[in-house]
Amino acid sequence: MPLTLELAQTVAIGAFNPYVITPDWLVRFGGYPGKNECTVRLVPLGGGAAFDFEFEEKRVQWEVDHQRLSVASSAPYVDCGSAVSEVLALLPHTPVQAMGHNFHFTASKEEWGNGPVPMLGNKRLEDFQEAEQVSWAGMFRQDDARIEITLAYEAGAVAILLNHHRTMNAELARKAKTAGEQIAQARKAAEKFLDDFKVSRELLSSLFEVELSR
Amino acid sequence: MSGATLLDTSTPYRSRTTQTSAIVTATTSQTGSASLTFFQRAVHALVCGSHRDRTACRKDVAARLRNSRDPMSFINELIEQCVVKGGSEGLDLCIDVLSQFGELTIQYAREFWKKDWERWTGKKGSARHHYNDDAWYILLRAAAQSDLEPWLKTQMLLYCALDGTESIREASIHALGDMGGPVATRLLRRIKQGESSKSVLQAITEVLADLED
Repeated sequence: MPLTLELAQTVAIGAFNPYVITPDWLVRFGGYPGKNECTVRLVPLGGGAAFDFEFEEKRVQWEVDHQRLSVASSAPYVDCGSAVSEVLALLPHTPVQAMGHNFHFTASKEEWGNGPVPMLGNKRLEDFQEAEQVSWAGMFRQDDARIEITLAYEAGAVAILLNHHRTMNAELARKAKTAGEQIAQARKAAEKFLDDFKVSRELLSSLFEVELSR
Repeated sequence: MSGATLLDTSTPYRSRTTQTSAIVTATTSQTGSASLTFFQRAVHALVCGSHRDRTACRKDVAARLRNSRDPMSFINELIEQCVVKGGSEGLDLCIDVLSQFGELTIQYAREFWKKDWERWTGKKGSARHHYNDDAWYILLRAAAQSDLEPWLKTQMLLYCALDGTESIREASIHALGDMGGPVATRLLRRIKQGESSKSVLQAITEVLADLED
C-alpha cells in the first residue's frame, strides 16, 4: 500500500523576526542560492512572511512570523530541520520554546486497499449514514519526543498525520554560558528531522503495513 | 490565524476534579488537520484533474469549504493552489468556488488586507506584479459575482479601485464590470476621472463599453 507524502515540515515555536529572516538574509548569511530562485508567496493570514526557494527541482516553503518559523516541503529528501538549525545557529539568542516535525501522508481508498480503517465503537465509516470522517489518534513517547499520530478516514481517502514534538528546557537555555550553548538543544531537536521521518515511516509500517511511494 | 476566524467550537477535555487553569499555551508544533489535508487533495483534483471531472470536483471542494470549522485556512489553501498550480484557468476555478461564499470571501479579504495594506502604500503605480495581486484578482471578482448585498460589494470594490496597487485597481475595474448595473457604470466614470495609469484607464474604457452595449 503506497502512501504519498503531502507535507514534511519543521516548526520552531519561539520569538522570530520576519523582518530579519528574509530571502535576502538567507542568501547573504544562510548559504542559500541567489534571490532569483526565490518566490514570495501569499502573505499568510497569521501575519509575517512566506516565501519559497526553488533549486535543484526542490521547492522549500518558508513561513516566518513573530511566534514561529516553519520550513516545509513535500519532497522526502529535503532536510527541513537542518535549514531551521542553520537559521538558529545564526540567531543563537532566539528563545525557542518547542520544536516539532510534521509529516502528513495521504492515500486514496484504492491505494489503502484492505488496510485497517478507524472505527467508532464497533462501527466503520460505511456503517453510518451521515458520517463524513472517522479517525483514530494515538500518543507515543520516544526519548524526548512526544509523537502524535492521527489516522483519518473518509469515503474516498485516508490521511495520516504525524507530529514529533519536543518542548525545550527553558532553565537549561537560561543557564547557558555561551550563545552556542543557549541554542544547542533547539538545534539538536531541529536536526532530528531525518531521524523522526524514519521513525514515522517505521510506525506506519508497523501499525498499518504501509510504505511511502517512491 | 486570528482566533476570530476559526470556527472551532470544540473545547479540550477537562476533568471535573481538575483544578488547573484552562489557559492553552501556544507551544503546539502540530500544524494542519486531517480535514485540511483532505481538502488539499480535493483542490489538487480540481486544479490538476481532467476537465470531465471538474463539475464534481468543484462541488466537492465547495461542500468541504461549507462544512469547515476553519474556513479561512481552507480559502488560503484554495487560493494558493489555484494561483500556483492552476495558471489563468486556476484563477477562474477559484472565482467559481468562492463566488458561492460571498460572506466568507469578504471576511477573508478583510483579514488579507490587514496583512497586505503596507504594500499598497508607497508603491502605488509600481508595475511589478506581486503574488498577492492574483489573490486580490480572485477575491474581488468572486465577491462581485457572489450574492452579497450590492452595497457590500460596492464598498469593497470602490476601496480597492481607488487605493490598491495598479494590478488591484485593474482587477477592481473588471469586478465592477462583473457586478454591472447603473451604480457600477457611475462608479467607473468617477474612478476614470482620478486615474492616471494607462492600463487601468484602458480597462475602464473596455468595461464601460461592455456595460453600455
